[in-house]
Amino acid sequence: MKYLIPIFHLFLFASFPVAATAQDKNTAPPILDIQEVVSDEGITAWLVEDHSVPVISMHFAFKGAGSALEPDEKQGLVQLLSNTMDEGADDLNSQAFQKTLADNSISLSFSGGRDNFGGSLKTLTKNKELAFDLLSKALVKPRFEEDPLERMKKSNLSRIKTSLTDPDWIAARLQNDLAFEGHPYSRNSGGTLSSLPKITAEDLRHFVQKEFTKDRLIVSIAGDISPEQVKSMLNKTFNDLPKKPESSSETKNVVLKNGNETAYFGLDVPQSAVRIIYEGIQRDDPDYYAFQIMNQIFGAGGFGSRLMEEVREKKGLTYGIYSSLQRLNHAQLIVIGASTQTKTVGELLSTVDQTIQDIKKDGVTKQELEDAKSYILGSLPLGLTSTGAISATLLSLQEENLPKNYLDLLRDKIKAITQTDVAQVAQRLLTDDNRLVIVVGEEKPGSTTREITELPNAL
Amino acid sequence: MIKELITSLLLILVFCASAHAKVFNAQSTKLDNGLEVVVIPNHRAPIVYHMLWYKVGSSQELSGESGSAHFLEHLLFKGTQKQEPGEFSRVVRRLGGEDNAFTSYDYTAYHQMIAKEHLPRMMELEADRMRNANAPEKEVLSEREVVLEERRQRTDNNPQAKFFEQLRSYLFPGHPYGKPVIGWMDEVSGLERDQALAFYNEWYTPSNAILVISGDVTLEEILTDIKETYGQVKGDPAPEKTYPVIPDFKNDVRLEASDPQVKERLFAKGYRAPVYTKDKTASLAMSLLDDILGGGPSARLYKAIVIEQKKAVSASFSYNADYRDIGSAWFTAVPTEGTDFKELENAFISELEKLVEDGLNEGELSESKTRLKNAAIYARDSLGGPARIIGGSLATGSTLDEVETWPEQIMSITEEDIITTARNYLIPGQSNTVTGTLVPATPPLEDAEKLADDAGDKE
Repeated sequence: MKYLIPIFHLFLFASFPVAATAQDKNTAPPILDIQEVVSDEGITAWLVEDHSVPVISMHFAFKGAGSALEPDEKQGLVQLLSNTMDEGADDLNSQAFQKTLADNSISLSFSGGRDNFGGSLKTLTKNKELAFDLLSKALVKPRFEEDPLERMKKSNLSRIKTSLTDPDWIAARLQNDLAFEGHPYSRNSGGTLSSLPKITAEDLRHFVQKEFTKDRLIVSIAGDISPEQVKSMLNKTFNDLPKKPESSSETKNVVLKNGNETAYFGLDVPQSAVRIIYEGIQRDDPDYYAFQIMNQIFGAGGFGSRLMEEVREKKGLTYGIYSSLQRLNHAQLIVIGASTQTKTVGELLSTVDQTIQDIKKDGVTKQELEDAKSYILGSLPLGLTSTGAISATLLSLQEENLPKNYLDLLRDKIKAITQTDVAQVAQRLLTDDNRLVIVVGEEKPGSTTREITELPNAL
Repeated sequence: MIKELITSLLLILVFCASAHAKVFNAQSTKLDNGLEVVVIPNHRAPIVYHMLWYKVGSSQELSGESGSAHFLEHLLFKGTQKQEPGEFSRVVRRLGGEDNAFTSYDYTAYHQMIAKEHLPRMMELEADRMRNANAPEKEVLSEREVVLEERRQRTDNNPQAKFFEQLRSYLFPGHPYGKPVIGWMDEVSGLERDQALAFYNEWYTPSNAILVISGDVTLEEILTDIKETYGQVKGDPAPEKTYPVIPDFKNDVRLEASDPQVKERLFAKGYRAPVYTKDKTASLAMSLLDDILGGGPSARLYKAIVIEQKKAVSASFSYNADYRDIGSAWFTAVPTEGTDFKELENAFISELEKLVEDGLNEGELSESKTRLKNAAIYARDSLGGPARIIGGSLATGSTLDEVETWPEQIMSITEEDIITTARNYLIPGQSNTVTGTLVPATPPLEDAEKLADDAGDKE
């Protein structure tokens, strides 16, 4: 492959529809026609109907029911929950549940994030009743039997042991630990070798009963289904959930900690993982769109971005380098990540630093600005090619409380950004005196201020 | 009520019609210069996925030049007589598209996803790249460093990847499938511009390529553009592809690997397997075996070895058919604590013996066939999936008609075909196989405290 870099989409969700040549947004038909469907019981879903393939995809989430709520000594609870909710429910034990899914080609999966707990369901049209029924059972009557629970614990412990020598995994672990020190986000959402064995079926059951409530639910659907069918499905699938949580704990905001450190973790591998981390920006910040354009030019754009040009194309120091905005509900980081062989870590760090100083000092060219805008607006529909991607996009919009016509606002906002806006946001955010550097590899960089010998929240 | 009824009647009609229909309904033609063209209309979004496949990969590299096919793929982004280095990617980006490429043993493909109005421009640039590549020497040297970093990132930093790389070399001794596509470190370090370009001149020619376009177009709409761009490319026919005859060992070949970077044991068994173009029945039967043995948590192996016997934390079986000469199949498993490799291997072998001696359970074959048929429906629910399936199949010697009628062919496979194939390819004494174990270089660490000490010891 020419390159392999994580794709961090600019606006967090997969992507957006736009009529590529639409001149007048009032007359141009929306490519993604989002309908809001409300069931008799008041459960809402966003729907994009598409009958071209007999497939239905659904995504849903319980907002605020993520791993940030876990007790410290039970890190990984939400992860384990996501692994066991499809391991038997109601009258079906683990094997019967899994076999029913497999024999009817239904994919059901759950995923625990730091902020939200989510899930997705994909089915052929002809099996939709069964698919929604299985999801309802999993949500309302999960069994959490001892055997599958133990199996999933072992599987997670195995995953952690395998990751313990992966430099990228270690760098990510250190990033969370140091950048969010003292905050629930600093914990290991995948669990630790000592925390996972402590989690019981009762813990899982309690979390589900307390946190999976209708007032937190958001649902999106795309594919071969009508609004009427969606309505009845919403009632059948979700109506048995409790209305509101008994009480909910509040997660505090956190800004970058340890922004004066260069942290090093020793690992005997030929290629070191490097991360440079700055405090980020939220969508409601007036500079948000200027930042997205700056970042596209600087390092989010893969080929042609300044980091790729300077570090990979000109110097051959890395296979891939990226800069991404990682946003959570209560934190925001800009993360530059790359890997390079041991002897060139210093050169990579100084090249990245020079690239940062250049964009702060000279800003970006008119051509760069125009190219970034045309990429951002032109690439919006690329992700809308499968029912799963469309449904995931609809969910992301709802997760962020964005309006259905967000796209029109987005186009105008992107178009309004000037070279001055971009230069200013680079100066504001790429701060020399508040950034955390992490290196995992064979050799300690000269700039190291803190050497870490025991990986926190892993063992 | 009446509306519902009509919908279901329509559905029945649709399903009856599609029982014998083609999977993708692709259109195809062949240009005078020998280029095969396939168009898969998909009008969900105004997007096209444009792919050019060359029916050549690392298997045709000269001895001592491993990695040259993949290196060449990188160099094709470094300009032509008409294009500046990196220009193609910059144009794609500016037009709101994504581009990349990948290399395998028997094919190399270049692709862009972009708004449909830019398709002619993509065809113009890609057609130019078929014969006129001209990477400057300076760019070649830095790109070689990039490829070495890619190798470190994918393989050398990853003990599991190194283990599988060595296992492949044992399974295919003296055969190009035994070499990694990315090449051996020492050989890649010495690759020169001339070697890559010699490979290019010999193999990159219209009659050795397939154009696959999936998206919001029809063949009729774009045939003129195709002829004006790709149709103008001249080139001699590529040589016949040759593969060395590989000895039939049928011995118990074993690799006992240990690595200080490993914390979790791993067991793997690889088999040489049939390919579709040489033995259709055996290949189709292997696809069913892939599902029956290894298709997820309710398939035979996971159920027996992980759930019931608790001898492994994870277990998977997969058949890899994307080759022109010989396929492969792999069983991999992580043993549970206290299970030795012999016990795990015996459990696996006894499952194979059970299958061969007792045959399939009631309904097992038809359930598996249904799952595979359904998978073909899901495959249509994306833009990239169909293009990749068709491109990969055609590049390894199948016809379009064979791809389109794959579900029907699967339906024709009998229990006897499956048992015969399992007996011929998977039973010890019959098969060409390799067995590998990967363990920590020091005795396995039993608890968190020892792991912590180990991490602290690295100076």
